[in-house]
Amino acid sequence: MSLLFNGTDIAYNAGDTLLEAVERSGYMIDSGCRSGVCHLCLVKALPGRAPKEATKGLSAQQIQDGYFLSCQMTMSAGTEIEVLSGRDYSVAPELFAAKVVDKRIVNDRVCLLGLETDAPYLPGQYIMLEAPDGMVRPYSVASARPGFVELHVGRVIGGACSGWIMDEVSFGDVLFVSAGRGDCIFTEEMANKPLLMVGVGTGIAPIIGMIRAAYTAGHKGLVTILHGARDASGLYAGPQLTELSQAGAKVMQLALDQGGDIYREAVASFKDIGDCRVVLCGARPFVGKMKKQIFLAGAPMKNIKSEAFT
Amino acid sequence: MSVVEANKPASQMTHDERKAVLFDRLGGAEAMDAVVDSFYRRVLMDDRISHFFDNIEMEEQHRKQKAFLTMVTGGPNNYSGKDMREAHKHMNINEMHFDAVAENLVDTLKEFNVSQSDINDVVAIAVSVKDEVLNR
Repeated sequence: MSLLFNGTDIAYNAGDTLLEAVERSGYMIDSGCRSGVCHLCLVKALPGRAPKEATKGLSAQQIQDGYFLSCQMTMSAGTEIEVLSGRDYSVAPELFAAKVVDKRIVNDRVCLLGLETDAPYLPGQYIMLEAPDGMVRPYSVASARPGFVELHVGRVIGGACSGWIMDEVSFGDVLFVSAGRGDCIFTEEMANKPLLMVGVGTGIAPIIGMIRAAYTAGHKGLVTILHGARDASGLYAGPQLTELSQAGAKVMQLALDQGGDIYREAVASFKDIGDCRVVLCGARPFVGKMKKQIFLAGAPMKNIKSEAFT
Repeated sequence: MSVVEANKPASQMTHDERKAVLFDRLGGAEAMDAVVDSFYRRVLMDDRISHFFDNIEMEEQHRKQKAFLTMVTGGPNNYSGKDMREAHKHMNINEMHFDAVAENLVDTLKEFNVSQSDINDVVAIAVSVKDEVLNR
């Protein structure tokens, strides 16, 4: 019998839930309903080692990372598990070589990078890219075919990684990237439904990836794509969005400094389409504000997916 | 719970039977999402209490409300009084806030055509944790 909780060996009785066993030993895990709904009691095992019966309602990424609900796991005589509580885990991912086969500097703020790599991903996900300082940073993927990753990189003023990518990385360089991560992906549930896709800045990248995948799969639902940016130079994805409008998507590019109001347009589009699946990508404050407005306009929470960049 | 019991007229059910089936009669966990959506929209638009619910982590907020609505409609839950107290302790919740939440809860249930006697039962459950929620 072995339960390692935050590095400490905890005794337990068979039949205890993991949550109960931890509490009996005087330690604490946040909890609420204790019946699998509120998710407060989330803990993390090693990747791929979350007990299946305790993962109902969790996302695919959470399950892959080893998260599970401690109130839903029952300890038995032979249980051997190592768990961490709390919420801040940095992921040290397995890295794959990625050769730079294309680099396009769109303007001083955005660059597109094409990489040849075996790193697996699903369209809409992001990958972690290793920077010269040894840290990894997330970048969204706009491509939708195995073996190739298209990154849209926005320059972060003073950023260690984006500056290096824009100014130094060259054709032929070998970079290191993780497998795709994230739950903001095109799923079976979205197939042939009307879609409302809203992105700001490089948040349009995962949306481009998802819609490329959707059309490849023969998607028949109406697709509406809104791209917002502070000014016209931020509306960098014209060529890729044209490709998608030729495939049937309705596309709007909105520059704030020209009076474009992406919140108003998104709510108006939602009201026109009604029961659609909504995807929101971009900076965290945008995603938060947009999600609230679309929800208040009547979108069921379960029909809204998002990826928020910090 | 048999189908016969679930279809008894409310007046013939025991208090416990009525309470136990509302969650199921609403459609169980699947149907809860729509009820939660409605309740969540109402509290976001209610200036007396929106600040408690208006933060960026909407999915997390939605889940907490789903757990709460599951509890008050007689669905599966194992909240301890201590959990309820700890969760609300630092929020400075007063009577007016509690009443405002109850009001929005009632309005939501009416939207879903819940009977007055079922509504009374739900409010009774909510009131049963009032001391913990108000930390008194």
